[in-house]
Order: sequence, then C-alpha cells, then structure tokens
Amino acid sequence: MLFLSLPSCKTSAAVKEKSGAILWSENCSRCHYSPDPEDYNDAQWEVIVMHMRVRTSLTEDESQKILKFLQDSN
Amino acid sequence: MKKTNTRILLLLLAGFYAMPTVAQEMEQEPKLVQTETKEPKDFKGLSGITKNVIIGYAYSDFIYDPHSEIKTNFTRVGFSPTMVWMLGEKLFFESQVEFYTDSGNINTKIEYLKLSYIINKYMTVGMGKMLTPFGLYTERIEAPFIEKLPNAPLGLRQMDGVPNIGPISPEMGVDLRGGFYVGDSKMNYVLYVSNGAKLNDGLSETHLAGTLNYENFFDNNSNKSFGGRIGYLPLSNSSLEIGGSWSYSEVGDVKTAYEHLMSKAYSFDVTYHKTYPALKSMIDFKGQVNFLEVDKANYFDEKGDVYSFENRSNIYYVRLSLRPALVHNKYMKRFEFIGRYSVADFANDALWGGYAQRTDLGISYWLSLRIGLRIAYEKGDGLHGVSTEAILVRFVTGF
Repeated sequence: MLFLSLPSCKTSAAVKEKSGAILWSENCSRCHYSPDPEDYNDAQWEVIVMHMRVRTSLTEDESQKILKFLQDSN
Repeated sequence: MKKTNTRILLLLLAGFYAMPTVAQEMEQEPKLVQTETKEPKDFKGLSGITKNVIIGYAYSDFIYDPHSEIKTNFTRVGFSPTMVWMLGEKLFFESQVEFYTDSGNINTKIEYLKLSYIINKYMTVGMGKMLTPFGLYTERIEAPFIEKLPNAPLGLRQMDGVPNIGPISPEMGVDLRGGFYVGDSKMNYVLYVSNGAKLNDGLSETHLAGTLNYENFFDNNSNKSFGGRIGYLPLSNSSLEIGGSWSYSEVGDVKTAYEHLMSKAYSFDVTYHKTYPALKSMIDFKGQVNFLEVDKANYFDEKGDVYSFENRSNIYYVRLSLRPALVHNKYMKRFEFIGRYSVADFANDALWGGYAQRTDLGISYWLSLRIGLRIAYEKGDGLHGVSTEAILVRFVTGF
C-alpha cells in the first residue's frame, strides 16, 4: 500500500520552494556539523551527496538542490 | 564459356560493390562495442564513469577512572576511512574499514560494505554488510565523529561480554529504502532482510546463555530476519523526526533444540533539532528505546543444572545538547554542552541480567568544523550494583 500510494503523494508549495542552502542546513545538521562547501570539489560533492541520500533517505529533489548549492558555493 | 565469364564478372562486381559496406561495418564495430559497454541497455544510470572520494574519521581516547587500579589510561585510537564510489548516476558503492586498538589489541574489520542501486526517485536497493536500520543510533549517530560525547549510551555499542538489545551491530543482508514528501511533512522508510541474530546457547560461554549476536556473517539457520524502520518528519522544517523499527528472526542453530526460537525486537526513536535565536543557540534532542524478547528456553548453568528465564530486556537513552552558535564571541560559539542519561535493563533472571544506569555530562569544543575535543564526566551504577565514575577525553577529526 505504501508503495502504491507513493506516486500520488504531493509536495506542498512551501516545501517545493525551499532552496538548496535551507535544505542543507535543515537536513545535514540534524546529525552532524557540515563541512565547508569549499572542502570538496564538484565531483566529490556529487559522490558525498549520493552517499548521504542513500544513508538518510533524502528525496531526489532535496539531494539535487543540496548538491547544486554545494557545487555553486565551493 | 561466354556465359560463365559473364557470371564471374557479375560476382566480382557484386563483391567490389560489397567491399565498402564490409569496411564500413568493420569501422563501426569498435564504436558500437564501446557504446554498448558504456551504456548497457538493461540498466539505466550505469554510465561507466567512476567518481570516488575517501571520507571518514579518526580519534584518540583517554580515561581517568578514580576507582580503578590504573587510574589514567590512553585507552583507544581508531581510524576509519570510508571509501565511496559512484559507478554511474544510479549505482553506488560504499565501504568503511575500521582500524582500532581495544584492550591492547589492534583490530581491523569491515564495518560496512554495500552496493546500492537507485531504482527510482522513491526506492533504492542495497546489498552487502550494512549498518542495520534499526533505530536511529547505529546508522546515523554512532560514528565517533558524530556522537557528541566520548562514549556511547549503555547498550548501544557492541562490546564483548555485553548483550545486544536489538540489532545494534552491522548485518549481512539486503535493504530497500527511500523518502518522500506528503504535503509539508516527510516520510522515510527502510525494509530489510538479513541473516539475523544468532543465539548464544551458553555451551561455550555459560554466563551469556540467551544473548544474541547480530554479527552473524554466515547464517546459522535458513530463516532470515525481517525488519525495517519508518521515519516521520511532521514539521515542514524537518526539525522533528519520529521513528519506529522492528526486527523478527529465528535465532537458534539449525538442528538443535533452539532452532525455532524467535526473537522480536522493537525500537522507537525521536530527534528534535532547531535553532533558537532568543537563546542564540542550537538545541538538539535525541532519544531511543529498544525492546527485545527471545522465546523462553532451557539453558545449562556452570554446574550443569537446567534453568530458564523470561528473556525480555530493554535499553534507552535521552540526550540534550546546546550549542551557542549565534553568540558573537568567537570562542564561546565553538562550545557545545551535552547531557545524556541511559539505562540498560537486562532480563532479571539471566546470568547476564541486571539493571545499569549512567549519566554523562560533557563539553565539546570545536576547533574547526572537522576537529572536536570532547570531555565528559560519567557516573552511574553498573549491572551488579558497582558504582562507576570516570572522566573521558576524546580528540576526534572527521575528513
């Protein structure tokens, strides 16, 4: 039932408008202090964000926005 | 004769016109092979482009124990490189190797090793040795760089001679996980199948009869463990997460009297993390409770007499921390103040049974976002009524 209902789940407009910086702040700091975006290059951030997406079940949209923020900020 | 010559001429002409086509195919073949190698049609996201990074942590521990014969001790160092590979847009491999000293011995082990494939935006499947997604502590908090105190709560770090209450150590298996929004709130889930726990029948370690070992890397029976965790983040800023976990498994060795003994484990966890400008601080609260029940069975004590007990145990912890990150003083904002209370209530009539509780009060000073110096005072009551008291120091870096 859980999986059948997934495609019908709607994200609210407020959540959709969240920036990568806000999502980074909200999600990463719940467990650990986040390193400086400049600590890694674009390719490394891509790998690290995928690692954290899988580990913490971030949504695809969240991980893409966070990745873009980190790559734009390094 | 003339007819034969005409036929030969026509064949030669046909061959001549066919030659460029064969040559073109020969030229195209390597390109086709290359393309098919790079982009297999069966699975999306396997571009063949590899990206990797090494992250991880290292730490060094010191303890002052006023009740011990050896009052001061540099007890443990550890180094855990985590290798992470992206093998395409959807395929991903991660492995953490641990090197650490423990009671004077140098240990090496694979903490986890897992290959994951992102099926779609809602589902990722992974297989290998995994940090068991039971509760939140093991998967997200336990790493020494992330745990704000120099020690773990009672019962939540695997130690020799101390029973595991629920799967707190890595297991071999497969999991399916994902996250999605429902309006303003968010949910995440993990479902897993693993080798499950192995019952210690007490034949070689009498005092541990009835405990479970989850590092069951070669299964002791055909039954597999089924478990998972559902997390719910009701607030749009993701500050609150509530989770529930379960794990069911037959735990006895095959072809023994314990073969069909069942274990049932449940866990509930909560996380609250928010910045309060009025306090100029970040507040972080975490808690988790684990319940474990193993079917009643007969075991043998040291004299060879049969005994039995209700094999029910639970552990819990709560932790509150405050970091004044918004104050202007550049030294003060690097401090974090932490308090934690943890309890282990093991099956009363077991040889390993008893009640222990401990309070930890600590300060963490962040020299940078990657380097922390942590000092904690711990005081409590051990399993057999022995009071414990110590000062712990940990110097840790994450990279």
